[in-house]
Amino acid sequence: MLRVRSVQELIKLLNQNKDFINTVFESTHRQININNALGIVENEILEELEENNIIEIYQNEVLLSESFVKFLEAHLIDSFDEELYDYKNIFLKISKSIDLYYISTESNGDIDKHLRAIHRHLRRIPNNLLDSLKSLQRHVEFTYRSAATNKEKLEELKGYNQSLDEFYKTLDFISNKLKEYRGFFQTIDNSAIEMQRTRLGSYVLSIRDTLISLTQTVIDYIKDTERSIYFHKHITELKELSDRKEIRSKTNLYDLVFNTSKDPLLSGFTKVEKKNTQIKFYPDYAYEEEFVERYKSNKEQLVQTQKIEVFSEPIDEDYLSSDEILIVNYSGILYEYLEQENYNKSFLDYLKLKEPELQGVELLTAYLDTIISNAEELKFTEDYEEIAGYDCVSAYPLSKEHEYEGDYT
Amino acid sequence: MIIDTNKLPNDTKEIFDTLRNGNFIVDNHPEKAHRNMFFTCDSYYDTLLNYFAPLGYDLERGDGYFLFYTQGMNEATKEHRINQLLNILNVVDLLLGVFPNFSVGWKGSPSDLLMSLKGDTLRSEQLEKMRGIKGKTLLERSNSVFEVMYKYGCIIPIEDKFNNYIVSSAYNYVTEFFEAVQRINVEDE
Repeated sequence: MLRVRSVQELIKLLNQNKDFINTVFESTHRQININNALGIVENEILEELEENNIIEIYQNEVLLSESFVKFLEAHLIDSFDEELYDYKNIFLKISKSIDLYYISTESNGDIDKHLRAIHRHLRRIPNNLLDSLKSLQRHVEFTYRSAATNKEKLEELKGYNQSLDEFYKTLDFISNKLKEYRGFFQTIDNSAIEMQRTRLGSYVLSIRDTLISLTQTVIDYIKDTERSIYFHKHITELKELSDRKEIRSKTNLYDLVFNTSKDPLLSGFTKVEKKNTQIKFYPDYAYEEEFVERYKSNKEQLVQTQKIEVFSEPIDEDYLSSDEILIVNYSGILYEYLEQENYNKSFLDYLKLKEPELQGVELLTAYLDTIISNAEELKFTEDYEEIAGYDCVSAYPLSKEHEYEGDYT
Repeated sequence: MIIDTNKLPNDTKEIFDTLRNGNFIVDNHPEKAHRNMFFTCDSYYDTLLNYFAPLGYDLERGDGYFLFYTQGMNEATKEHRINQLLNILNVVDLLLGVFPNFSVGWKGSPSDLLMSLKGDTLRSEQLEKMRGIKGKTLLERSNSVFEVMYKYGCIIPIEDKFNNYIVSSAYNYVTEFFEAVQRINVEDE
């Protein structure tokens, strides 16, 4: 039981401590550590809240009292009352008012009285519909976030799914009734009623859209909850097998870990540390190197290239916008070549095949830079190949030396 | 393979370093810089995939996370990985039992676990006997549970005044892995 003397006192108390109460309400299990609570409010406030049974202090934890939580749920969450929004009854009243309107017209009675009644009923419906929708939304969210167990959550969500179906039917019922009375509305030519009728029609359409997305949310929540129930059951079974030392023989866990070509590189799950390779990881540096290489390979711009200091100054982006320069990773081509393990074809032949437009000094520079940078991956022979008038050493994959010997010695 | 390094995003280095050190990149990390790395991975997935592949790292996309896969893991390391997975199995079983809503996005702290375990003798004993968990008191062991989950990348500290953690999308990796673990040799039972 709450111990406040009046609603005003309760409102005042809640208003003064709204941040603190909100924090506790939104925390897990609606409880926080007392030290955290004292970081938000004074000790005297805690005592006052505890005295009024808004909070309870248990050991070192501050939690919202059960009676206060029930009070909040009752007034904030469970305000939805189907009886208040009995649309069949409302439209019966509208129908009756329409009948009385016609009777009054014939008997020269007070027709405005009946039109006012119709107007009043039409005006109330949109807000009632919105209340119903918001209430359902709150129910769904609250249940999904706060239900104590997954089974409870699932049952509640399935219940809401049915409520949403009912709500669709209500909207259909209202739409049909509006169509049914269309002739009457046109006959009376009353602008106030016509405005309410239009307003109600647009509300029904808008609420129907929201309802479709809410229904999808509920379906998703149900799926998530079912999956969560299944997953917890599955995990418990696996743990029991693990406790009985049977997980190796009775599950495919070992297959999943051992019979895979690739493994996740996760520090928490493995201890593997892969050595860094010599390939450039830093895109800025890589970019600058490639940029310089490209310029080095062009005799006409050689002088300009010498002014570019690798790793020291950022590249002027104007170069990039003014010149269309394709930056090619020749090391990548080399790796592709090495992966093919073709010991009869030299790297130069492969490079020419992959980059047919690369010729002359440009080819010479790219070739030499690549083979020198990756010398440890290659085997060099005494045969020479000519590029732009220069004799260049031939390069082949490092392993299986006998294949070179067969062909080149 | 030809890679146009001009097309690489600016934070390629950060992404590479994060993943190569055995971490996840997740979409719900409390730090914006980290979330930006996720969005970069998402937007430049093919470019980064091709850039990292020659280095021996396969960039893999999961449900809200990215990680590296690699080849050549030896048997001892795989055995170690299984032990780690069994440890996390115990921890996840405990957390799901105590917090039914424990999933991606859930927020909580060791003191939440401590409070829930105080009235739950069965699970308190479970935690007492759990391997891979350090500490003598229930509070120390509750802290250790969160440290273990943090080590696996499944939870991330929010750095608020309540010492809360948030379950990251990397937890999806754990659920996907254990969902793939199925019973075999059932007819022998």
